[in-house]
Amino acid sequence: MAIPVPKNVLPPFLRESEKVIYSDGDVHGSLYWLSFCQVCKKLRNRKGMLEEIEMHRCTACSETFTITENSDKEKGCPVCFECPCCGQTLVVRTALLPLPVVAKESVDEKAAQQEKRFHLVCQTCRWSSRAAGIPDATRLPSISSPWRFKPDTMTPQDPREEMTLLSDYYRAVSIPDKVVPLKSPQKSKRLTKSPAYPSVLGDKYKLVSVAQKRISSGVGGSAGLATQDLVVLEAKLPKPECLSEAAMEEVEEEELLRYLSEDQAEKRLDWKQRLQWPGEQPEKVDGLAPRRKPLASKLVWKCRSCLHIMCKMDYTAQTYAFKMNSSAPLLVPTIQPCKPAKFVVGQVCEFVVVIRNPLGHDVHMSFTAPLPDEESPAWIDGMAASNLTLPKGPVILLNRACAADEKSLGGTDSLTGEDSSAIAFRKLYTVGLRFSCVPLSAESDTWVSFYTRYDFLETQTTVFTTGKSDTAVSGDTAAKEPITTWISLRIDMNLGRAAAK
Amino acid sequence: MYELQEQFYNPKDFVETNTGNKVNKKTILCGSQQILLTGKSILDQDSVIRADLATVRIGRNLVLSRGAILKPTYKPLSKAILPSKTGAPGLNFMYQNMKIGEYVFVGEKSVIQAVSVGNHVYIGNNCVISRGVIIHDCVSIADNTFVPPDTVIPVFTIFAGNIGKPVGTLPDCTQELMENFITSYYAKFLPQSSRV
Ligand SMILES: [Zn+2]
Ligand SMILES: [Zn+2]
Ligand SMILES: [Zn+2]
Ligand SMILES: [Zn+2]
Repeated sequence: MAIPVPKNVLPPFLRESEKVIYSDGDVHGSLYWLSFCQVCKKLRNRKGMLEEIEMHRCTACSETFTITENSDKEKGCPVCFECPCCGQTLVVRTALLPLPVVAKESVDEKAAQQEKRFHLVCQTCRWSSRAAGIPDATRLPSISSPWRFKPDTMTPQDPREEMTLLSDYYRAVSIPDKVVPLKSPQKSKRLTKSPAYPSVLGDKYKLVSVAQKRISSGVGGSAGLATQDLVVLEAKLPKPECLSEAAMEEVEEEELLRYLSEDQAEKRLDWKQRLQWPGEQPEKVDGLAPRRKPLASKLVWKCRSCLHIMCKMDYTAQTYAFKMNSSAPLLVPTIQPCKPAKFVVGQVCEFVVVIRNPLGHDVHMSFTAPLPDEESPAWIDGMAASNLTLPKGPVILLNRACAADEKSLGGTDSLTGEDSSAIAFRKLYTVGLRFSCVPLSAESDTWVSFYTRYDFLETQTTVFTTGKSDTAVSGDTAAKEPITTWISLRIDMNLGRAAAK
Repeated sequence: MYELQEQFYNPKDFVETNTGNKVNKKTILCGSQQILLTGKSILDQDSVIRADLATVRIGRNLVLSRGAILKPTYKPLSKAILPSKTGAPGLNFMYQNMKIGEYVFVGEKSVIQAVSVGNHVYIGNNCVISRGVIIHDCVSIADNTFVPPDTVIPVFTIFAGNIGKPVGTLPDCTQELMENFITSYYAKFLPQSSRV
């Protein structure tokens, strides 16, 4: 159940979403982050869905890119750049350069005397491409970047070369600061003159040249003292040879990390591989180059087992619309417990569970307790409550449309064939049901688990337009007979911590 | 298990309009003829709408929490507007109309100077939405976020941090969640007389 973002940045109504966990086979999680396949009638999580990228769009310039076009633009918008320090979109500034007066006889004198130069500025943190030493461009960015952020191309250097750079860097960093206290310049001067001080380290903070000095001074670490340190460090650093072909291929997918779950990413990139791939960014801060603005992608989600489209977004820069939205709260009744008024260990506590029917038909829902010998799932991080009482008979959840015009059903009136004693309130398409349990411990959260079974009517009017035209035709012919499917889900609810006796 | 607590207000402090707007008497509404409130909105104590600068159009079901400020954005001009008759120097910027969509929640002490805020937008407490920002539909901005000028926040984005960045995406059912949240916030915002 991976909620992909830290909890504290979520809006409050999503923050406590994991307190009610739905499970259906091997899929489990908060309903808000799940989808429901209307064909398989099963809950699906992100692993159960196939993601297809329909289009990429740059959020800064609203330019769109199709998939084929984007193959080399995977790294981002070719025109927009992000500040290397704070990540904001950089702004292009124009500067007029007076040219040395060469062609006085030219027709347009002003144009000849001035040439436009462009540089990038961050309006938030004042980073600028000029301060970073990137030469100004002579044209505005159109299809490609006019700036040359690096002396070479954007492709990384020979990995071996980069490896040696990196190992030299770490070598220098890990030599303890005791050797060169930089606090007072006088002290360091004295140290530099001292014969015991290794000349190799004189350039400590211009790290890259350490290697060059070492080479020029003959054998590595000839200056005596540091030799042992260097040997030890060398042993710890990964050797460039372990950059096998296979490993390289794997890390090249680094940009895919954004779409990977955390556990997948860990498998793909262990720390060794990461060290071997310093990426495009340089070792020193002043060499930081702007990054391309990452693209937002318009996605189509498909069910992995039946390949029907589950979610299709149709958004422009301004707004969004769903051509199809199989988000689970729209297709599965949502169940939410209210906090019990009196919640004391060892006492029978009654609490109301609010169920909301999002479907266009009445739902008949029944509840069963899990079998006593059933193993409690891994996501329950507390104590299960004992003596759980559930509504005995099936409960009717009114549909969205019907409930609006039959106002008489408000209040606690029960419908025919229903266990009225369990109903706390009924309000349009929501129903409050009385549950009760006995919490066992005040040390950890109290959980309540049960199974629900309800009918899902498929009215066959939904024509799925994914390739298979014959299904659509057969759907038309059978339009009058809705198909009922009984869906069974396990619900685990966290009721919070009970008070001690 | 997210439950909103009922909030009780003193009926003397609030004015309720025909369209169901609940406006605190201690709100500061500058240029009130330029505020277009659609209905069912809550403007809480000490919130400010600077409609004296430009028109502020607000969709239904806005919640403006305590101390929140709506201020129209401005556009820098290359040349100053001609000096007025009084001889005051001309301005080199111009205020633009502001548009707020439906089902928008603005947290306490947040300052909003966006060009437009879309529908189903949640803005947390103590946020600063700078000038020229465009917030699209179904966006959530975490508490204490600074959104730098001219940022465009695309749909279904979670924005957080100082300096703010996109940190994630909202679920596909955000529209429903946001509507439920604002509706129940409005339903549980009750006068003290209804307290049992
Ligand atoms: Zn399916
Ligand atoms: Zn762009
Ligand atoms: Zn910056
Ligand atoms: Zn029925």
